[in-house]
Amino acid sequence: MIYLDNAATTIHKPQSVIDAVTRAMTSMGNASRGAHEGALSASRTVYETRCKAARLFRCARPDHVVFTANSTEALNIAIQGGIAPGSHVITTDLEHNSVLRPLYRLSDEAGAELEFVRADRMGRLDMAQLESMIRPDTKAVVCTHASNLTGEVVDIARIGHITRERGILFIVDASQSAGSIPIDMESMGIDVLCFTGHKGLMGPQGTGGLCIREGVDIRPLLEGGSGVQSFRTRQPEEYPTRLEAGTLNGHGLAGLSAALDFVLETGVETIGDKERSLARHFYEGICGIDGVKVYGDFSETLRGPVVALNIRDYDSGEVSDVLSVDYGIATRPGAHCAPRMHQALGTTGQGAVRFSFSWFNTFDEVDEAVRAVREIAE
Amino acid sequence: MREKKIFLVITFSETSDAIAAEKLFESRHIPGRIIPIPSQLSAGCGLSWKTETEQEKEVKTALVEAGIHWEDMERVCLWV
Repeated sequence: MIYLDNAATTIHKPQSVIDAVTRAMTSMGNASRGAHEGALSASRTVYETRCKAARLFRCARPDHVVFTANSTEALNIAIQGGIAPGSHVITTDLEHNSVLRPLYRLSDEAGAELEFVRADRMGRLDMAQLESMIRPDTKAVVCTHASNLTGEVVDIARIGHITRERGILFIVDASQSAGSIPIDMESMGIDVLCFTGHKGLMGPQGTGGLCIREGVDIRPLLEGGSGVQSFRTRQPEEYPTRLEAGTLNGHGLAGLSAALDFVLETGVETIGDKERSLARHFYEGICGIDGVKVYGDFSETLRGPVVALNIRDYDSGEVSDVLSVDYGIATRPGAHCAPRMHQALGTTGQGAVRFSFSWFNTFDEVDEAVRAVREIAE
Repeated sequence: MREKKIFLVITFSETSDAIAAEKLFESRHIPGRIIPIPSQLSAGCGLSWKTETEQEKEVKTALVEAGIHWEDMERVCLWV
């Protein structure tokens, strides 16, 4: 199989990640639950993982790196726990349902007023529009770093500058950028960075988290076992325990730790450059084919490693099915949990076929995919 | 141009229902396979079962007997 659905999850992981999970499953106890060697081994592994994530994202405090099962959980914690009822909140058309649905819930159940920065037909945002939406009662901006549909990258540093100046909470969804595009919470003015471990970071599924700037208050969604302060009636107030009720996915985090080593040693720039080269090679191969329509602005060089397209008026699901069955190429059709972006692109009916690339793909695989698209379009 | 013909497509609103149906159909030797939901049946994402039109009665009986919920069952023109 030629796997080009890396925006959903990377299927090829560094061998060190697989080895680390196996090792953990034969040796690790429960982190923060006792002082025997098994428990301490888990506590040390989890702490090292916090340190590596803090280093990768330039989060000032490793103890403000909170682990969750995925980005969705992290975003729910940040949105539901960090935005007060009745707030005015700005977000964008580029968002994934992992941002949209918690925000719609906040609107339905807690009286939040949502406003969307609109994407144009190329899937681009107008930053001036975002600035004009800010009001005295704006409490938060929630925004993706990169679109999971077109790969469009948002100027996070520019938004962070605006929000920091005005004391507005800035929550960033780094699901599609972590591991592919450098992130610096400090210089970009990010208050809460939500990430997943199983995509560009190439770690196990079931890992993710949020990095929180010191001084930002996020209310816990869950209360429960913590391994510390057991006679308190409520969840401990200190991060990370404040947001980590219950046993962590220690085995997965051991894998994430190895994945972060791989990313830090290889370098985000190096990984991202290769992924972007693969995506660019694919784009250049298919953009001249009669009947192929590509979505997004490819005049930008800094992009997520994603190319979404349609062939004539063919159903995206059927094209993806032919790619899978006839060519052994895995892609993602349909709506990609990005309803507003599909509305902006005019693809709500047809959907789109998304090709997404990772560090472990090869240029030969890309050439195969180009050939397949050409044959289907004939 | 690829050849097209009419197939029976059964759509599911839950992935777990689609996988349960796959297991059921395989155990009853009902031919077919899982495909993405064709956009003419539902916008967005999800799974469906593509089979020959003459399987309709058997498919329905199997699903009803097993108590598996399906969303829609339509004849759709698809690539062979």
